[in-house]
Amino acid sequence: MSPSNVPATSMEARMAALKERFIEDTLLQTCELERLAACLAQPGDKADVRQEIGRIAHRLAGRAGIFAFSVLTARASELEHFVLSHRSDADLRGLTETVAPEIRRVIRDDEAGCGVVEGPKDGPGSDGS
Amino acid sequence: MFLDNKLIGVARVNEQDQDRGGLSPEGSAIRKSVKFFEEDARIEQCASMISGLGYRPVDGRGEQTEGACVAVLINTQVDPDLTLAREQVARHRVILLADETSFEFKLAAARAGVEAILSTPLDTVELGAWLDDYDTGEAEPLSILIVDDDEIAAEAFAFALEAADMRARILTDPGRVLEEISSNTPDLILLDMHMPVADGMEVAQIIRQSRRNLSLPIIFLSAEQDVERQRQARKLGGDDFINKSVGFDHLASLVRMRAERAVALRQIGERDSLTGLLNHARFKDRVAVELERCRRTGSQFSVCLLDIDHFKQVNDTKGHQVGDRVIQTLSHTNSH
Repeated sequence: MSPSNVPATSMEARMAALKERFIEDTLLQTCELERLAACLAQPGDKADVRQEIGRIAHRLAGRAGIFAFSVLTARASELEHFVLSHRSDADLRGLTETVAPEIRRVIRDDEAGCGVVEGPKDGPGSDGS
Repeated sequence: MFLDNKLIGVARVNEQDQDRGGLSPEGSAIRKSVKFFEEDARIEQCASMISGLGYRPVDGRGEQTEGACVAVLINTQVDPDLTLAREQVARHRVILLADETSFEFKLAAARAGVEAILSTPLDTVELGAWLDDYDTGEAEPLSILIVDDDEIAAEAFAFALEAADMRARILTDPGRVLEEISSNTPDLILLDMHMPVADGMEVAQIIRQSRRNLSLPIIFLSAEQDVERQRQARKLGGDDFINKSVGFDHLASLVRMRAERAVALRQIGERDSLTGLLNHARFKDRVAVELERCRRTGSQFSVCLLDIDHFKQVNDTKGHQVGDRVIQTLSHTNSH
């Protein structure tokens, strides 16, 4: 497929559909982050919980950049850094509980002002960063 | 490829190949042209060589070019101060034919916008290779393999590459990377650094375990900032890093530059210096790949053996230089 044989509107529609999938999956992952944050408050070994938070955060950081949500990239990277730098369970839980509602707010704001969907470009992102 | 005087070629039959010569609605062949500016005494020889390479020769001092002009060939004997070259660069790709080899001359040519300089006597294979590079209208699009367990991210990268006229395939299971390389021969791999089964560095190591894949460029998709990890990744076979947040245009541009360079280098390394055809080792690899493709798709496959009868007589009566030109022209004509 190429711009020469595919109408621009098809390309835009394809990117819009992809962004829609990103948003749906991110909202699901946000619920999972909140569930994992609650697990951090429970007694016992949290290695698996921490690893899963790190995995979700890493994936979100990469994907959010693709769709030009640079604030989400920054916050998710921070979360991943907390895991990699072995910050305490309490610290990690606190940050996770802070980041999760931020993710929802950024996505809600983007949907409210949703326009033509494009790929990432140099400069301000979808989240106004 | 040639074995002694035998030309061996591989052909897959499909409609696209049959159209490669380009036919007008009336059925007459349309050849792309190469314009040349040559000394009077060499015009005929130059035209013959261009024609032998499958292009329509156009004398720049007289005829007008019709249709697509692949390149302009200028002998510096008729354009010593590169005025003509500078004029032609605005519309065409320019190849200079020159005996001058000094750095100063090459710098002046580069500043004039000249892309290639060939020495005299003109080497048919080298000229043919440049023209093939420029004749992109018939070239296959670059084939890029994206290995990323994140399907949404991979699809976004594929979108960016396809929008830039490249062909992208997505592989979310790194365990199938060798199978994919073997069956689809990508020109470049975009490889995610962080994957659950095997990380990007490990996958790069596995790819590089085969000599056949040593020259296949690998670009890591990563936000990796750790310089030591980046160094380690390059040591294990990665060529470059691209941040996942990079703009689509920038991503496509970087990938295209790397892939085109790799394709050009691969063609030099894989081809016989006299004929420009695949060398022995690469020919065998190519036959294996085509056989595999035909088994998979059920398409037809042919190997053609051409034997030039009494070729020694050509060398004995016309000299080895002419003999070489016969082989070069025949091989080039048959490979187009």
